[in-house]
Amino acid sequence: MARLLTKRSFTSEDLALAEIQQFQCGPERWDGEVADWIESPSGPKSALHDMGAYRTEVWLYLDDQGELVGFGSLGQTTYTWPVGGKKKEPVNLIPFIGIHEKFKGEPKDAARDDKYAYQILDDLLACAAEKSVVSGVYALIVPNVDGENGRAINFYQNRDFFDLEIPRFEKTTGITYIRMARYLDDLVKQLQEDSADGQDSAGP
Amino acid sequence: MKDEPAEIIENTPQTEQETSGSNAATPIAYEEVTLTIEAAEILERERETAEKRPPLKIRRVAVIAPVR
Repeated sequence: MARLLTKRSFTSEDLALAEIQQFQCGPERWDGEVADWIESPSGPKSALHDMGAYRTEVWLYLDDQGELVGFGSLGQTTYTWPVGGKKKEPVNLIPFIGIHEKFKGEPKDAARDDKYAYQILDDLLACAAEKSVVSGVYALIVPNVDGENGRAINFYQNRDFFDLEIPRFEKTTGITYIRMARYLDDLVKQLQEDSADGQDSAGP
Repeated sequence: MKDEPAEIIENTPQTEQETSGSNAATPIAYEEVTLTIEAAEILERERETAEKRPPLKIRRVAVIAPVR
């Protein structure tokens, strides 16, 4: 049986928690970037800053023992279609997903879809689909992934994300981020069907 | 996968270059993105693929109240 995560909203009070301040994703540069984001109290590389400045939502995900497994975040950005279309739409954005290094690949005995990382991503996909239904956000979700983080790229590809081939190069760090995307229409349709059936799949 | 900065800058619309510069302090792309024609074509193609794909069956994670 799958070991299901629970979640709660991340708040400024959580910054004082040892499990936040000692949050570690691993030794790679992208691991440090993710951990810094959740641990920082302010500044442009801070979850709290983004929550205030961009109304990004951040959740902490806990295992059945109440231990912090990781976090997920969902924000919004705007995409403009090129000349000819000139369509402009708000789209869902995943600023960061972080899995504590202790829980990477866990639970070991779980099927891929039941791994903690996929539970978190799937939850974000469902939240984004809900936003598309409720507030008209375009049914697309876009994470930016460090171009050298092959594990993360595979992770998203396993959930049908594709490369938009408009990489974003940061001059100061020399890091290239890949813009990936996934349509949410299948989940939107599912939500609408569940709603029509009176079976709200949003859970408690 | 493209990994050469010079090539990326050349392929990036002007608005994107400005965005990258002004956003150098943050790794998070909240800024407006102007799609290239190629990216718009990818989106169009992927929409067709997505429509043929069986829907992803996912579970929502239950929300709990914060413990204080």
